[in-house]
Formats: sequence, structure tokens, C-alpha cells
Amino acid sequence: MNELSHATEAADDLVLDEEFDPLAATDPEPAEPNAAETGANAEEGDAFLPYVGSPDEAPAAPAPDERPAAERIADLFDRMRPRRQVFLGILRFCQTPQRIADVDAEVERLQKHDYSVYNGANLCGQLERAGALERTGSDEVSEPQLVEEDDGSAYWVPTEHVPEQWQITEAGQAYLDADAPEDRLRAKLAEDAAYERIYLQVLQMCAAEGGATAKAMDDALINDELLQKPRLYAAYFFNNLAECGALVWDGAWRITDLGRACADELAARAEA
Amino acid sequence: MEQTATEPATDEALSAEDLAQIARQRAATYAFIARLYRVEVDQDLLDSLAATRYPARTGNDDVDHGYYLIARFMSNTWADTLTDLAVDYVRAFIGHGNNAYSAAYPYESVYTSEKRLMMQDARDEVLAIYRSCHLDKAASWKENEDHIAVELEFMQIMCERAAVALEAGDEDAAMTAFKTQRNFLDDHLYAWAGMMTADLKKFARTGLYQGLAYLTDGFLKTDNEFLADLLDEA
Repeated sequence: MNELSHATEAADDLVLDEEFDPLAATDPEPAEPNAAETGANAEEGDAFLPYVGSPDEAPAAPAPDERPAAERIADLFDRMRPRRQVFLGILRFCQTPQRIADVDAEVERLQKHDYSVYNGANLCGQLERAGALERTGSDEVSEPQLVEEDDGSAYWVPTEHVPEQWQITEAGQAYLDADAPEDRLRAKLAEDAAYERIYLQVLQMCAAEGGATAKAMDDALINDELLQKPRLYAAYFFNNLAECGALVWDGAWRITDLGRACADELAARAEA
Repeated sequence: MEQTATEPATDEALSAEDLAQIARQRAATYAFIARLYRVEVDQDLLDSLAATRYPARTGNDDVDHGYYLIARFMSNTWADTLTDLAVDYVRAFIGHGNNAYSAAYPYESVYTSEKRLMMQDARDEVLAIYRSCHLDKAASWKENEDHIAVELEFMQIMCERAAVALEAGDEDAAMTAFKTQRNFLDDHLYAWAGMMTADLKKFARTGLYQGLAYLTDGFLKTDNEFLADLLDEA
């Protein structure tokens, strides 16, 4: 027994009140409000508390999202930008069907240095709802097995479900193929052309042995005159570079191959 | 370890030993149903459900359908079933609206008070009944005493007391326990549970909680009939 405990063990420590009637009202009924208190239009029978809702006002089930998969996927990546690289990693991993446990392990690896409240199941579920992933082998519903006994009784025995796998969909593959981090990086640098020198400095710091910490980059840039108006901090730059795949965090910010190519190009432009 | 869910009791001529065994089977069923209402399913319970055999021909259509739905759900589990069940538990019993009609609220007061509020007369009455049987809410239980899990556990305890009394040869004590159960079903549990399970069928989406609704309906109906026949014969 979990929620009801036996009080008899402690009976010796209690004095019973023979006059106590547990069903008797402990508080007098509140007085009916007069018209002045409730307003001239108060209907007879209205007490202090209004009725809370009605069956007719019960919320309807949410409508299914019927937008095209391409639109839903783009919306998901836009809404969850900090998880972009993880989502792309999942889609790449699932270009061949993968057991769910293996995908969960891959997500753990992808998020090893990037803590998230979302686990593999959450993220894959979001990709599934967006139409970028699908579960294979899940169309048929497994039925329990009916076991007949000699005495005429019968029992349902749950059957072992065939393990499902995650696989990328056509829409997911199209999104993956269309992802061009180089183009995104060029677009971002073009947008922030005035800060090319800063981007180069951040890339060079992260190219050093052991990478660079956020504090080190912040200390190096905090007094840079280019970042005073409008006020910008190092995080703006290394987050933009990370989103475009030029930097990666694994305990320190480190440059990627794409980042090296970008740094070379920016350095050449600076010398020109 | 393979387990077998219990079937509702029948009213054939019974010895004290048979009656004690039936009382223990009824206690097991009340405990099973109460656990599913109390909190979300955890891994231990999920493993136990997967290893259970569910009666297919109990004589009550709702019980049979409820067990079938649960067995079928357990035949289609996947890596994230616990999350699916936790989401459905919240959807079914807590809801997401500020409207008193947005979930299958598992409290008797909600279904028996005029304005569907908690902590109403029903809660006071069942608390008085528990205390009259020397029972009270455990310190770890933070919900109200008229939560369906607590009312089902009360029935479970009365079944166990009846079984113990019968095994000890005390038929009077056993009959007292049975009468307490019948009165409790008539005045409380059986009077409101059907309204809650109707909402549960509407809001729950997993087969487990859908099956729980049918199982609750069928088992309470059958148990009420069993007690009526038993006490009328006595």
C-alpha cells in the first residue's frame, strides 16, 4: 500500500474526539451576496465563483500541420538554430537506415560538448514531424498473440516489436543536399563586410594550437574601436562562424577546414 | 517473469477459501489499475507490462477490450515509449487549458461538484470513510484523497482485509469489509468513475490509457455486481 497508511500503529499516541463529526461543515455557509455587491444584472443563483468553462468551449485537438515538408523542415531549422549542426549530423547519419539506439548514440556524440535538454528521441521526433526523417518498418501495427489454455481460458501475450530504424526522407535529403555552408558563410561575410578584420582575427585565434576560449576572444576584442558603435562582442562573431561551419566547439573554439579556407581568403584580401 | 492479469470475480457458490482467493485476485486488479492512474509509467512498470499475460475472455466486453488495447500497445513499443506515455498522461489527466473540461481530471470532487472544482464535499466524505477504517493519506502522497488512485487503493485494502479475515475464519469481519466496499462503490467510486473514463477515452491517445478507461469501466461494473450478488445471498 502506497498512499493510504495504517493509523492503528500510532493509535496509542492519539486521543479520539468522540464528538467529532467529519461530515459536519466547519465553516458557516457564506452569505448570499446582495445585488449591490454583485451588480444589478447578476442572475439569481450566481455565487462568488463563476462557472469555469463549459463542455462546448473545450479546446479542440490541434489541427495537423499540412504544409509541405520542405517548408516544415526550413521552419524547424530556423526555429532551432542552435541545434542546426546536430540536425544536419542526424540527417547525414540517417542517409542509410540506422537503428534507433545507434542514432541516439550518434546524437550523444554530436552533443558531447554542446549540452542540450533535447535527447536523440526528441530531436528525431522533431525531424519526423517536419518530414525530414521517417521510421521504417512502422506502418503495420503488431497484434498481441492469443494463447488458448486447456481449461478454456485465453490470454493476450504482447509480441516483441520489430526494431524500427530512422531513415532520411526525400525532403530531408533535398534539404541536406541544398545545405551549402560555404554559401552561407559568404553571405554572412558580405552582410558584415565592415567587420572582415574582426572575423579574420577570430579565425586566426581559433586556428592556434588548443583553439581559443570565449574569454580570450572577448578580452582581445573588447576595446576594439570598430565594435563600440554599434556595440558588438566576440560572441556575435564566433557564433556566426560556428553556424556557418567555420568553427566548432569541443571544449574550445577550433577552426574547421572551411574556416581555414575562409581565413586564407580574408588574409589575402587584407594584404591586397 | 511472466505474470497474468486477473479476471473479474464471478458469483458461483463459494467456500471461504475460494472467496479469499477471489478477494486477493480482486485486490491485485485494483492495485494494477490504481498504479496506472497514480503516476506516469516508469521503466520497471513498462517491463512488467510487457511480461504480463492479459485475460482475453473474462465475460465482460469492456474488460476484454481494455486488456486487448493494453496488450496491443505493449506489442508496439519503441525506444521512446516512456516519453510517449508521459506526454499522454499529462494530456489525459492534466490537460493544457484553463477550462474545467480540458482533461479527464482524476478527482471525484470535479465530477460531483456543481462547478467542477477540487476539494469539495466528496473529498471530505471519502476522507471520513478512510479514517473510519483506520486509514489515512501517506505523507508522500501530495494529491487529494478523492484521487481515483487512492479510492482504488482503498478498495484494494478492503479486499486484502477480507482475504485475511476469511483465511483466519472470521466471516463477520470479511462481510464487514465487503459491505464497506459495496457502500463505497455505490456512494463514491462507481458513481463517478464512468464520467471520468468517458473523458479519458476522449483525451488519451495511447492504447495503454485508452485500454485503462475500458478496463476501469468493465472491472468496476463487474465488481459491483459481484458484491451485490454476494451480499444479497448472504
